[in-house]
Amino acid sequence: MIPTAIPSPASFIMRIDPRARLVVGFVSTLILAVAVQWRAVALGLLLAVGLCAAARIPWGGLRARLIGVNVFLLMLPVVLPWSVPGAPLWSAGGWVYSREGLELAMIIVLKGNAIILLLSALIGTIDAASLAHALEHLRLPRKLVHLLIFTVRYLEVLHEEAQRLYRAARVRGFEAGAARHTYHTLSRLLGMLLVRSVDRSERILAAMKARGYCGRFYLLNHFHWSSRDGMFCVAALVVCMALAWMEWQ
Amino acid sequence: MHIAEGILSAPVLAGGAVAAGAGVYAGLRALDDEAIPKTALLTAAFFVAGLVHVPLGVGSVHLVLNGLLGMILGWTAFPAILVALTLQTVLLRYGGLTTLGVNTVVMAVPAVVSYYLFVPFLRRRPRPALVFAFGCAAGAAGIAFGALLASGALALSGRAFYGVAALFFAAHAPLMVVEGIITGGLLLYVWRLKPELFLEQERTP
Repeated sequence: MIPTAIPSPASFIMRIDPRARLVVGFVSTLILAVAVQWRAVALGLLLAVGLCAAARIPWGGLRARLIGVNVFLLMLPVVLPWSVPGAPLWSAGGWVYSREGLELAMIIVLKGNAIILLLSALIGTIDAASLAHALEHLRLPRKLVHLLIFTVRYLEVLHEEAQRLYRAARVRGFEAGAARHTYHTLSRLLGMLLVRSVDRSERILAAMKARGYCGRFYLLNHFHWSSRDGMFCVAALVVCMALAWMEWQ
Repeated sequence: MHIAEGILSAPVLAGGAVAAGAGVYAGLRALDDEAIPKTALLTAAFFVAGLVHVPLGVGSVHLVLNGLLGMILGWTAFPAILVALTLQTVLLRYGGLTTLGVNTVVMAVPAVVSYYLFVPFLRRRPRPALVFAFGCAAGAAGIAFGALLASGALALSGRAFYGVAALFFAAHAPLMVVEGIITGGLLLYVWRLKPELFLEQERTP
């Protein structure tokens, strides 16, 4: 199974219009991503934790994501301070591990985590189909949205196909190892996947044309903008301005 | 190959977003309505291929396959890669939302380059051994060029990141070898079964 949105219980976040969540998530992420001040990053992290708690996101799913990101992020406090000039914390053979570098690295680690939590709460709770629809409502190029809708629709189908091919290879005694035979087998397996996906796309196009496809989809899920969504946007705007003020005052 | 959120500086993020936007615009112009299902299914197939653990030494790596993707999709690799990266960000938490632009450029530019480098060669119907060799070259070059662009983006974000950039580039050496071997076999296989995939139409804006 491809892990889609973390299944989360109904919460007030889930009731907010996906368009609002998308825009708020994007803007707040942008501000956090460029922030370099302690206070702004700390406030962002606090808000992100609060939103995750409010969205009642299960800890299990979140933990896996956080581990994945932190494997890379925690490399930074090890490497970065050596190449940032500043007050030395300790030194080895002419190289200086600087205080400023450690501070910069820790800010990056904190905001990396804050953004993951923020996105998990706001956008991670939107299912893929609603996401595509929300994007079309937000006036993204039509072809791009169609590409996204089709990709999302067939991701699971092709994933199952790949697993079927892999199982078939295993039944015939294939065992993956760091050997030439493995690379040979995998390249054929993936080649089969590509060829079958192209064949499938031809059948899809023929079937769609037979049903009168003329280059556009009619969206059925129209979202309903309510006063709650407006209030959420205003609150988010205030918070984003507070973050920006802390960063650039 | 993914640069995570919150590391790059604002000008680099903005530059990446603008470059990716231009590439995606060009790619969408090259994309016929009728080619949307095929492009989307290939995008999904490459996404799935990227989930496979390929054993290497004691560990394993994930494939990117941007060299081969470019040979098949041409300029439409830009929107395809943007869609794949968006889904990876939303579904798997690789990369990030603000780094989408930079990451798209990092993977799609080598893809388009490999389209211009290797597809004219395929049009001359070469021998299988040569197809395999050029597949290897396209796969390895796709990663090497991509890692170079990513390291460049890191280095442009400040002197402080020079060390990280070098480490990032070095970490991609094993992936380069595996991608080369697999792309070689993959290209030869697809080329034998469906040569029209590479020859059918011009994928340029």
